[in-house]
Amino acid sequence: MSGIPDLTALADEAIATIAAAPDLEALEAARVRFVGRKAPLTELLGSIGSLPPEERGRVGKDGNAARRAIEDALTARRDALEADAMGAALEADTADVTLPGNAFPLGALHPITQVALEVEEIFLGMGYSVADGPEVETGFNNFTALNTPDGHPARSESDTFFIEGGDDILLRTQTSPVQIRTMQSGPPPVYVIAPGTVYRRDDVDATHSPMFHQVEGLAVDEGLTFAHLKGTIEYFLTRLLGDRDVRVIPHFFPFTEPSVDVSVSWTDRNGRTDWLEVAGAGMVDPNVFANVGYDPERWTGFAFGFGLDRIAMIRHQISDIRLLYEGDLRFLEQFS
Amino acid sequence: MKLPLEWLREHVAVDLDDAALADRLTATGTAVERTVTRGIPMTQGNRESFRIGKVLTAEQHPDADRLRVLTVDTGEDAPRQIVCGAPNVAAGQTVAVALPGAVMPGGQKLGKAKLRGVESLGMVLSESELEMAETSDGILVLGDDLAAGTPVVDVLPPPGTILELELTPNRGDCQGVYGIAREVHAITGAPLHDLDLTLPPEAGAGQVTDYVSLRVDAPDLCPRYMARVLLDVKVGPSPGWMVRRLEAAGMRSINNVVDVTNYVMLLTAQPLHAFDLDRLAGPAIVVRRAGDGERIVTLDGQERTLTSEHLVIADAEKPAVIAGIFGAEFAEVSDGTTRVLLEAATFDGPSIIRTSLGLGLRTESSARFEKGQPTDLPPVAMAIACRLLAELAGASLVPGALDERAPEESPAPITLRHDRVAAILGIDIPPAEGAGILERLGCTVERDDDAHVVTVPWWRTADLVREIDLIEEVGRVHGLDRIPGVLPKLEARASLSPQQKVVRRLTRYACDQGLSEAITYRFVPEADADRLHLPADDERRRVVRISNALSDEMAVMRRSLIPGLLRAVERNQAHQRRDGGIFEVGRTYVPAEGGLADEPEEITAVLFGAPGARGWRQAPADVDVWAASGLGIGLAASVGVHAEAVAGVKEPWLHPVRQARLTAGGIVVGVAGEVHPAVLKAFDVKGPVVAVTLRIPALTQVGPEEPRRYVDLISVPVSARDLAVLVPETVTAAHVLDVAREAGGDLLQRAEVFDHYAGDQVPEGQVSLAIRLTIAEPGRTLTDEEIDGVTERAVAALRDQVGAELRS
Repeated sequence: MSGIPDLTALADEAIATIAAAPDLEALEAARVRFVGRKAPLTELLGSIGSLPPEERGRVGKDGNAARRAIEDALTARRDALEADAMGAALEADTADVTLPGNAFPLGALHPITQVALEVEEIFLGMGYSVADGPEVETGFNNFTALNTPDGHPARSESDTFFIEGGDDILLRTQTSPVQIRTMQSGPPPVYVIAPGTVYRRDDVDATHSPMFHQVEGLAVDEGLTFAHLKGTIEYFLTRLLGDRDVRVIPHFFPFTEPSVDVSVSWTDRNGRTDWLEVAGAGMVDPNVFANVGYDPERWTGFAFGFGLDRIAMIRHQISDIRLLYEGDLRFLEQFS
Repeated sequence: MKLPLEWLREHVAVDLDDAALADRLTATGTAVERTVTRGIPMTQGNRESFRIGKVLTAEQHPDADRLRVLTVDTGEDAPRQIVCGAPNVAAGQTVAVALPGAVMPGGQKLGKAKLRGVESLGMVLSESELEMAETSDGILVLGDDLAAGTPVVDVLPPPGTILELELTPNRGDCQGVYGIAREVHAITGAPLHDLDLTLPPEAGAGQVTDYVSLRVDAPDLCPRYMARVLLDVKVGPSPGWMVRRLEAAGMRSINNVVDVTNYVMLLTAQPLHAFDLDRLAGPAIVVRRAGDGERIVTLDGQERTLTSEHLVIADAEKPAVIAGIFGAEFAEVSDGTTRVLLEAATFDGPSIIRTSLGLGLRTESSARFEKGQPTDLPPVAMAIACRLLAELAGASLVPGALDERAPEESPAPITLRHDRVAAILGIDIPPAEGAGILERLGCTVERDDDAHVVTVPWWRTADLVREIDLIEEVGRVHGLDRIPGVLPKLEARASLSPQQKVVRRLTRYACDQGLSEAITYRFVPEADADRLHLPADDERRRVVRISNALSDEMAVMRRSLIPGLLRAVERNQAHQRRDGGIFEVGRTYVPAEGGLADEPEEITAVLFGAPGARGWRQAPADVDVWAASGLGIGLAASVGVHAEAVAGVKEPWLHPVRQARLTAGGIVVGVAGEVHPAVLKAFDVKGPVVAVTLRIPALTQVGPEEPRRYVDLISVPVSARDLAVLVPETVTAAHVLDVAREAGGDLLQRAEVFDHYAGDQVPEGQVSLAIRLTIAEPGRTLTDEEIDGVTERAVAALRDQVGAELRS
């Protein structure tokens, strides 16, 4: 019937017009023209009732399909135009991203604390506890019980700080008295480390400080031998300082026997490799066990001590120990 | 200790080269700190650079009186022109020449030179330039039979290597060349030569007792005193070989008699003393404690005052030696001495240490006595010294020796169980190897299936006393470095203590807020208490005091971390650092009974200036009391402690009103506020500075709390109501909130201040507070009436209790 427009052609024309709409205004005009209230398609669909019954089905179906196609085209074109508009707006909203971003300040733990924490982590992982003891100590715990008798030069006023009003009370010169306190507090087995502050009566210079830091380690158990000491130290040092050679050479300490000096291979700034002494260690002397009431025939053990300042200085290539104690933020903030 | 290897090799026939020997010594516990070479360095090319030369001609230098221009045949194609300044140079001499390019003893490289316009293509050498002597008057003139061009190293003594050893305090026996020779024998198996202990013929008239008497009044401090008399002594210079050895070992030559005593000490570790017998009153030797106030003029010309703590060797009248340490001028051997009394004695080590420290005198002799010498050693040294004095000074030995020796128990043999060696060292060292090591160390070993029975030689009785000492020796000589390391198998049962966890979290949190951690000296000046304006009766003026402090600045143990941190701020400000945050975690020291201390830990943070991120669009504010309280509350929260700022405290070092106490669960956990300007002035610090201190034991006590129970404020609506109230400025925000919370009841989940205002629109003496009430009940939706009820009750309570007026 000639009164019915060619729906396919109409839809094609509408879709072409919509696709060509340069902006939202033109798009709205196209919408009014093709699917508005007065649009021929709208009117056709509104007048389906007046069509002959045999045509109503076809016209209804085709007309609605054309309308949906046109509306889909409208939506697609609107989305595209809006995206273009947003893109243009965003492009115009320029920023110099190389300017500094908002700063979130981060302070630094002291390099000695950082080393101590790492040491603690390594030994916690092996099953050691972290023990502690007072810095104002008795001469017994700091010296006598550790096989350093009265009259030893280390116990003199020139080497050790003593406390007024105390009978042989002193600032501990090593973390080793924590060994004594730990063993006095309970029976073996014992696996502890004890980081802490120690004091020796040295004048301050680039390599000496009257206050510094150590980590003590103590293991007492059945069947512990020098081989265990060596294995523990090698494991610990390579975890802390990286894969490098570890050397032990015999030495003397009053409270261990055999005793060793522990060194690691180290390459300095000039590329020279040498042994660097980092720790003292040894098998706990039977006299020390006797002093704390452990049976030296049943229990054996080993002890070791590291200088935390020294390890921090080696790691960070700090040449002057005084920097560690000055609270200078130019120094401290380098370690965040 | 300086060990000339040439001397060592005279006593032990070790075939290791110098470097290998040094390594072996270090590996077995005799640490070689440094190796020093004397003489021509054995570097590449040096052999050809030092040649025998024949001086062909020697002409006066045209422009210098003291220089001669030589032509020297050095075995090369043509003679060399060399300029020489030595007074003794002459044509026809056979000399040692260094050519340009030679590495000289001492390490510098010789170059071509022009001396007063004349080219010099080498250097004619003196003994001192070859490090064969300390000084020399001219060039070294050699025998004419040497051919020109012969390498000097082939005809002169080999370069002397000196090892600088760090001996451990238990090895007094190694303080002499022969002790190290024994050690080298033990660690390498190289044959050890016995010392020749035969006395010279006793040629002097009479008996030693005819010449001098001996009385030991203090056998406790002098276990053995031995003396001999030598006559016809001719004091003079020592032979070159002895001078060279003394010098190589770090001592100076004095005269043949003194040199012999030093030489024998360096060899045997036994210090000796030589007296001029004719200067001794009596003549008598009395070994006694000094009288209090007794004086002695020592060899350095100093008069020293002694006490009864000090042992002296006196004649009939006065002290002649501070025993084992230093002699008096009057009794020393001098050029005119002909009769010598030679002492070889042992002294109590701790007494030597006390005297040496007390008088500030440490000598080669005292260093050896400190470690305690065996009483079997004096006759050894005595025999060698007498023989050398007879050989080198023509002395005649008077028959007999004075010898007072305190009775001693001979040490019992030590049982060394084979299984114990393995139990300590962790490896099986065959018993036969262990026995061999001990025998090389001088022990006598009775071998058995389960154990060895070991008798220790007299020179090791001080340090080899117990089974463990022998195990150490076996391990040391076998090589501790050869024991493979293994990790112990242990059950993991470790964790950090609550306090350790608290400290870790606090420090981490502080860093996350941009503060950096400092460690400051824990000994501080006592004046810090004044600088902190602590009242005279403040408990914190009680301090742990160091009796031998290095200085007043390090005199007492700190009671607070504040002074150390303020000093750090001062140092930072001194280099133009305007803003920053520093914290420290550490102990304070509260005096306790008997000189001991309680050592509670605290964390203290100071902020100065306007710390924080400063950028092109961020400008942090100057710190004030709220910066401090906020940081304190944040720190506490980081360890699960919900602290509140409470007004009304009076910490003397803080601003009188701009400070707050931090409390949680009814416990004071710390304090925060602006540091008092007068305190800042005392520490030379520029404000604004705020501080917060938290007591770690208190934080540990309050928290971390039990695990929180989940509260359902998610599936129900939560209502917020904002109020603006005018309150008198004397009423604290905390009080206002407390009143609101009390009145609001259980449905009031939170009450918080979100604005504070005074000024325009607000009457004088009042402030406007904006308060947000958060109202809900877990698990249930409230009715409007219930919500309004909470608000109304809060408003009414505020009106009634603090005079608050609701603003519209």
